[in-house]
Amino acid sequence: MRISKIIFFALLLGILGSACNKGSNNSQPEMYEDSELAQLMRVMHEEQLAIKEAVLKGEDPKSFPESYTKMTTSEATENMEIGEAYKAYAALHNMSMEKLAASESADLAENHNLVIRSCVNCHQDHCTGPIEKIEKLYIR
Amino acid sequence: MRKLKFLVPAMFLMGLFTTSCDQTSSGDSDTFSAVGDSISAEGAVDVNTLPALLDGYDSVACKLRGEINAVCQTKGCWMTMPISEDEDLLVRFKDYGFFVPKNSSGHNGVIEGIAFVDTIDVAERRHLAHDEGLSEEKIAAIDQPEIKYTFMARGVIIE
Repeated sequence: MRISKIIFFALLLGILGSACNKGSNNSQPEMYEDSELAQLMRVMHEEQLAIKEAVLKGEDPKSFPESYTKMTTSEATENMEIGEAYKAYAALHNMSMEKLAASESADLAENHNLVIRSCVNCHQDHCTGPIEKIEKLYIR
Repeated sequence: MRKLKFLVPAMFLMGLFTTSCDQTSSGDSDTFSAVGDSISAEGAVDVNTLPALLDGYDSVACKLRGEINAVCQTKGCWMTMPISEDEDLLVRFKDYGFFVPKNSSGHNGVIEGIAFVDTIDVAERRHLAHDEGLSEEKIAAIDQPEIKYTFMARGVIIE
């Protein structure tokens, strides 16, 4: 008799536990965490925004960032291709940054826009999501 | 009397489980995730009303609700919601400032922002297909641009 009671309560617990689980969603949100390269891109955006704001105020930027030199050594997001095309775009970007850093005041806006163009061109091939945000960096 | 003795603890157990179940399904448990600006679900209209909302306009500010049927599997930086049997709404997130969980597919979503019609070129379509995790064959088969209902969301609730 005692055994039948134990079996009855065990079955009851199992049934109720199962019904409870069906009513709730046990999965957790799987959020993306920025890769090293994604973090670098956010820093580069902030730095380029600071240059844009300085140029719009008619000031020479106090300094030019060097973070971009890590573009080919930072670890990218999984599934993102860091191939020869990316490296070629990175080289073009670095050349445009060096040109910007050596600019006369009168050429700052134009050369800043060349840098932004190089970012957009690369993103069109590799990751189109942030293009709209990057295009806001143009000095019109 | 012996049967009653048996039933009392059984009823107590049932009551205990019912209470604990209720506790897990109340409160915020209906929200799987909320990202971007804080928005409420109140006033959201079904996503299938979007063509009518946009009729005659280039863009429209609105709040929509619908099922999520695909999510970018690289970052969660876009998602789609079916408008009809053969048409999806492509949802992106303002200023690339936030992403949705990569396992949001199958959940309902509420989105608030700006809807418009956009042309998605071949390169962009292939990029989206890659993000979705489609096969190389399916990606290579994309050879035409697509005119698509598109949404720039400032806030998203996933239920």
